Amino acid sequence: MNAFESSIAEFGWWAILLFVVLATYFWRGLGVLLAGHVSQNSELFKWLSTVTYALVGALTFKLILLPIGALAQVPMIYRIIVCCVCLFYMTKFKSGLSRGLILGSLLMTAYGLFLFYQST
Amino acid sequence: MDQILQELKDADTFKQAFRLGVKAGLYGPGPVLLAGMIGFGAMGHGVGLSVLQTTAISTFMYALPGQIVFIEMMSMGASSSVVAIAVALTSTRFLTMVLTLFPQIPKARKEPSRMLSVHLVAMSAWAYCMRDFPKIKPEIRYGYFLGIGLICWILAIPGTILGYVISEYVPIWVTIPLVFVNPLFFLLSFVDVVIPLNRIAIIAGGIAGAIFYQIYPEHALLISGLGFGSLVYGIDYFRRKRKPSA
Repeated sequence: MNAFESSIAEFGWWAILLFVVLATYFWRGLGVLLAGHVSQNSELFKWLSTVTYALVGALTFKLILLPIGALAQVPMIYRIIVCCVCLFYMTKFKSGLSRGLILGSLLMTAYGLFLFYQST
Repeated sequence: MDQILQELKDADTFKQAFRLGVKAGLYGPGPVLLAGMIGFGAMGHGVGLSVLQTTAISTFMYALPGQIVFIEMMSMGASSSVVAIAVALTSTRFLTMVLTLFPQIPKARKEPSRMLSVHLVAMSAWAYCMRDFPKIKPEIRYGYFLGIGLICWILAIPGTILGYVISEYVPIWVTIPLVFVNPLFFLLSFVDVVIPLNRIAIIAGGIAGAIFYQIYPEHALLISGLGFGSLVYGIDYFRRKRKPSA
């Protein structure tokens, strides 16, 4: 049992899920109600999008720099190098996002194989 | 893709547009979304959720960044209200997305409820509809959107289950790329962010996140997102006020 399982009783967890599902749907539903009535150039929208990008930026950096689970077995320097290589590949060669994703996955598989054969 | 677009130009009925939407979904955003959901399934397994819990998140939230925020924060032991605020803030982008997409679809007298179909609005379907809507007849746009949206949503479910199940049985060299797919996807999608203010917000939030996760892990996302996002916005706001010409 890990911290996740022990801290949340089964029922409590589902109640929180319901809460976040409603929180996610809220914006979609609000969009339907407001469609055609509000301007997207308002200050409120600018603030909302800045906050959203900062949040997703924080999430992304966290997942790459301070991962939990399997990814934590890959050294930080290798994770950063893979990200830089993929970003470079995408911007330099104007290739699509999916190609960058495939390149990154291959580089991570390569390190995983290295770990796998080192341990056997 | 070009062939689908050609057929779309000749399509007249809702049914035809829907079928072409499904096709476009399978060739276009489907594979990337599937990869993301497989990665999410593997993450769910990694933090100790059950397969039912992980799949329920994908089905009912259907918003990858929010889903990952949810399981990350829960595993950090954040309180439920803090988790809900962070998830709600991550999902604000849907408001802008719906506001740009839905007014392009003319209302028909008999159409599937928009309050329901709006659940299908996600990065995948949205980007493709925004690109293709100007090229197709307004009357069939709703069918096209429903086709792409529905197929992507349906793919999310087996994708999550698959990711969860395989991460239980496969060696480490399969799990590592799986859990890396989503962070890399977010990182690479930042390349397409053109507004300078939003680019600064990503970097400021990212650096703040990396620092605050080590000090206040359960509140790091909120501090970095709400705090530093607002800070970046505030600085920009006062800079614009002072220089009205810029």
